Amino acid sequence: MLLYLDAADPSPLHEQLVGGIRRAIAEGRCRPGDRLPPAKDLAEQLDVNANTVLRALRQLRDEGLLEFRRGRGISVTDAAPAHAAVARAAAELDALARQHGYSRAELMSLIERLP
Amino acid sequence: MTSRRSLSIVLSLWTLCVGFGAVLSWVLLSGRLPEPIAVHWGPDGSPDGSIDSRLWMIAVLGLWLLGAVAAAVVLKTTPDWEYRSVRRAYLVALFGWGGFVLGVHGGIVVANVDVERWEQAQTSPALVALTLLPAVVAGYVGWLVAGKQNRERTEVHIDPLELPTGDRVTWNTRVTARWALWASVSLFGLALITAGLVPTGLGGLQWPIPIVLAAAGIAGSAFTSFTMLIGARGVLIRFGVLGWPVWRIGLDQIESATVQDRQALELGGWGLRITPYGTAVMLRSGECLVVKRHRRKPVYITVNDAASAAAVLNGLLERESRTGRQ
Repeated sequence: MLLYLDAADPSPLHEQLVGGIRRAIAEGRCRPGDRLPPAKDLAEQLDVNANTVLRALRQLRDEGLLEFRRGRGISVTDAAPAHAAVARAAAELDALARQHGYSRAELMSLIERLP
Repeated sequence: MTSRRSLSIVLSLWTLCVGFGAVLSWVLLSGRLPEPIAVHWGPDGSPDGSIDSRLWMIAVLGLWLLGAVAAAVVLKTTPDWEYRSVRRAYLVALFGWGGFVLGVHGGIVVANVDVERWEQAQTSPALVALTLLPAVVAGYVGWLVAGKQNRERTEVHIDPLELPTGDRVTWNTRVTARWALWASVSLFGLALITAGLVPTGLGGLQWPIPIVLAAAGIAGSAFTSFTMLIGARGVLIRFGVLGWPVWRIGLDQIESATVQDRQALELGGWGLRITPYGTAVMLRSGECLVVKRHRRKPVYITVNDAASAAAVLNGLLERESRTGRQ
């Protein structure tokens, strides 16, 4: 799994990490049951603060893409690919909407009016 | 001798030769052997262990067949036999093992022939040395049988990933060898069984046996899987289920990364291998990330998508040399 943090990207580092892992899951490069490296190792190799990595991993855990298990570390959940694909599409839609001047509330209203 | 078919013929013929040789020697000489026969000698040269001659034959044939079965599994699972180094390693080990079995069996028979009781069987340092000679000779024959045909090894140049200053990147993978996992579990199982048998005195089992089996299981379990993480600090490898031991290859130690096709046999087998050609983290044959180090032998790591791993590593190295920092 490749993880890339772009210095020119204005998004916070932890959000770029979340997006990178989510993309890897959605594209099948990271499959259900696959174990991620320990947060400390990722932080060291990415040259970022360990809390940045932990924040990203916890967000993905809260979204249901990752699970933390004592003795097994961090692994991708069975439901992750579906979640990741939808979450990725939602993030892209949100970015597209903002690009065209829509607020989050307007976007939600559009979605709610869908048949 | 570059096809699996021709090697399987060699394996079959050699299996029959060694088995037949062992059985024939026993058939011809069994009338001149005591019952039981001496099979172990103490430091003073006097025999201190004996066994029924038929059980000895079963043990010899069993050991040989175990080796032959292992050789058959290796033959089936090794994908490429066109590299001479692979064939040599395989045939030297196969022929050498057969020679060793015949040598030990022959030494025992010679020591016991024409004595009335096993306590009278004599051995000597010269005889012990002679029992090893068939292994050496047979191993050399294996080397010759491997032939000279060799496929040229191609090394793929991997372009570095473009990494502007300030960008951060990691690449990680996890490799597991299920067969090695089962082998470790089996060793633990054997350790438990033999530990349970020691108090009963069955088969003369002593405590070192289950302890050694358990230690082998623990040591082996560390090399049933590994995680590799490439990034700003170089290459980080964590072994086994517990992620220990840990091996770090700093970016400053690395010259470049590339991809090669390597077979386990030519790098000393499976697991962690330290050989004159380099160090290998080898859980399967095939595609390898090759990490070339400054003034040291290279490291071969079997991973899928080694090209991406090499591109990331080369990108980090290229940026390091360009900017002097990460």
